[in-house]
Amino acid sequence: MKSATLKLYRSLHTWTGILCGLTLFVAFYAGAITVFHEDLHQWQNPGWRTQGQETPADAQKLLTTALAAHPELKGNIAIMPAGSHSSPNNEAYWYDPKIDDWAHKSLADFDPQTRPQHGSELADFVDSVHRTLGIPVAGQYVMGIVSIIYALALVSGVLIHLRQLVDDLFAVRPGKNKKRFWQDAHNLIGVISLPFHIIFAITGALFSLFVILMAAFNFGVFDGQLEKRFIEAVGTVPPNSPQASGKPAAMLSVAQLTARARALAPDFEPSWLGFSNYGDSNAYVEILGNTPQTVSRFTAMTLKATNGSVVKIQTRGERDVNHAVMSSLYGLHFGNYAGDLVRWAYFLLGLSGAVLFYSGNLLWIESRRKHRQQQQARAPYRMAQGTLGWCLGTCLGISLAFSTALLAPMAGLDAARWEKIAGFGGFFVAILWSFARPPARGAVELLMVTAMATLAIPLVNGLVTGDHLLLTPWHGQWAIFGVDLTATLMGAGFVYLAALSRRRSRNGQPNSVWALDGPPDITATTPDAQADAAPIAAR
Amino acid sequence: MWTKFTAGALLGFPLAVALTGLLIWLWPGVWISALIVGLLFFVPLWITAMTTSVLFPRRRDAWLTLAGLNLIAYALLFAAKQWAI
Repeated sequence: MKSATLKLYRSLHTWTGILCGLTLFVAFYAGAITVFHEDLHQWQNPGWRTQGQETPADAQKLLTTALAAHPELKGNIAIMPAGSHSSPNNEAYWYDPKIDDWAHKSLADFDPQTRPQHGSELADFVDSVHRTLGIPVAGQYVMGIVSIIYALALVSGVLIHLRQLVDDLFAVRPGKNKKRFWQDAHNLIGVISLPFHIIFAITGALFSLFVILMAAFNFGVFDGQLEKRFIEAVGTVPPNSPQASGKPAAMLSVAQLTARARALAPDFEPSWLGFSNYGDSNAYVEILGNTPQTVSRFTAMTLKATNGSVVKIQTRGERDVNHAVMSSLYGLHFGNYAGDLVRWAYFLLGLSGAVLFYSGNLLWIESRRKHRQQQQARAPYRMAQGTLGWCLGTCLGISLAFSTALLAPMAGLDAARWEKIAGFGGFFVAILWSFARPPARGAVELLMVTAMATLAIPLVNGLVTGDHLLLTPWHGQWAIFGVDLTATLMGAGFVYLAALSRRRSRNGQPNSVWALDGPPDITATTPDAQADAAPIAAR
Repeated sequence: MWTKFTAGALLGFPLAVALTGLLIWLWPGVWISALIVGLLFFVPLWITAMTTSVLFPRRRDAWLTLAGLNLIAYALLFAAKQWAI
């Protein structure tokens, strides 16, 4: 490749990286945690840990109760069976036009005896941070654009690295030249996890921009037909959904329908039963769920709710190309296709992705350092502060949200609300702090605070629920143990990083932004203009 | 460079839509049955348009070539739709 071309792609890589690196750090850090979405449910709801699992008969009772309480739904309601989402309760879901969102209630919520209590929504919060940075509506499209920029950064990154790719791949050179070390680490992580990143760039963009893309294709390619026939491609519900006939009919029970689904697809684990026109002779149910131990594990079918006859079915070995591809994309993105080993691999790859983006910013800062002079430009200094505040703020905020999920209910507070406040609060305080302090000090302080907040997670769980780290393995509560152990290890990791940062601030090269003494023109309390002009005048 | 890149981003989008659409229409069977598999190609096509547009020697070349490719792609798409039905 010509050196001019190389320069072109280097600059493309730099700018795309700077534009999307920080948001991708958040997506990957929160995404790594979201791999264990279902396990988090058990951790965040201590009541669930001891409660016995509800039965399909309870699901049937919930269905009838919910429809009696909400006749306006006209039998359009869904049931999430107990056990399918780590919850021991069946949950009824329906679309509420008043809040323009799905409402959900369990059997206990309908009982006037039990006071409706809103539990923690920690797992959903972390998931929303992963998908949207926690910003409603717009966040999803922001992340869609970010996915595209991310794909550009991947392509340009591979192109500039291509020449030395084979020779330098495993050469990680620690030593005096910190930039070389970070560059090697950045390249190694980037190349090794490239297939994983390609999957995320493509699926991330498709998931986030789906609505926009469908509009573009509907208008540009399919002459408005896509809107009408779209459901044929992704659903199993008939395209022109059967209207209610108005004649009441006897329905098969939830237990019977589930059994029928399992008979049609062995190993199928239904996690969603979406009813249409329940109670009517023209009622049907769309059953969605997973078939374990296969990459394309997403399985779907629609049955008539009166007799269980198949309307449409999309299972392993019996599905069209659309469902096969869609199902594989879900599997490859969520990493839930081959048990715990693959989930841990996804967790580690997710964290290493976060390191990749963090190291990218470090390289940007390092490559702007002027050697053999103490005075440095302002931009790398600010970038160092911003990167620290943003990235550690993300880690801090999420750790605080974890503890708040268990502490808030004890103080009689709404956990779902306060864990968000703790999360965003930690994030913004970290950013303010990072800009108020020299990076060398801010790094150590923020790392220590994040370490404390992360190590507090198992402690809070132990104190609040009594299920502490030394007990949970003996009770076979592996999900709880896993969350606590991971928090402990990550807290220890943050302490280690704090120690490393402290050492670097003392013994590192003195003209680095990470040195304790710092470049003098920045730490001096001169007005910005003077500080920026000084190095130019000195030349 | 950024002007050429913008050409790749702005004109690359409809181009990628058209080429993806072409693939979906030419796929054996009804078009709707190839929707998702076709969409897989959309992101790589758009990215390719953006990363190659910066290689044009002149800005004008980038805009004109991409506009021309768009015209051809949509003409082919129009033809494919007539033929597919």
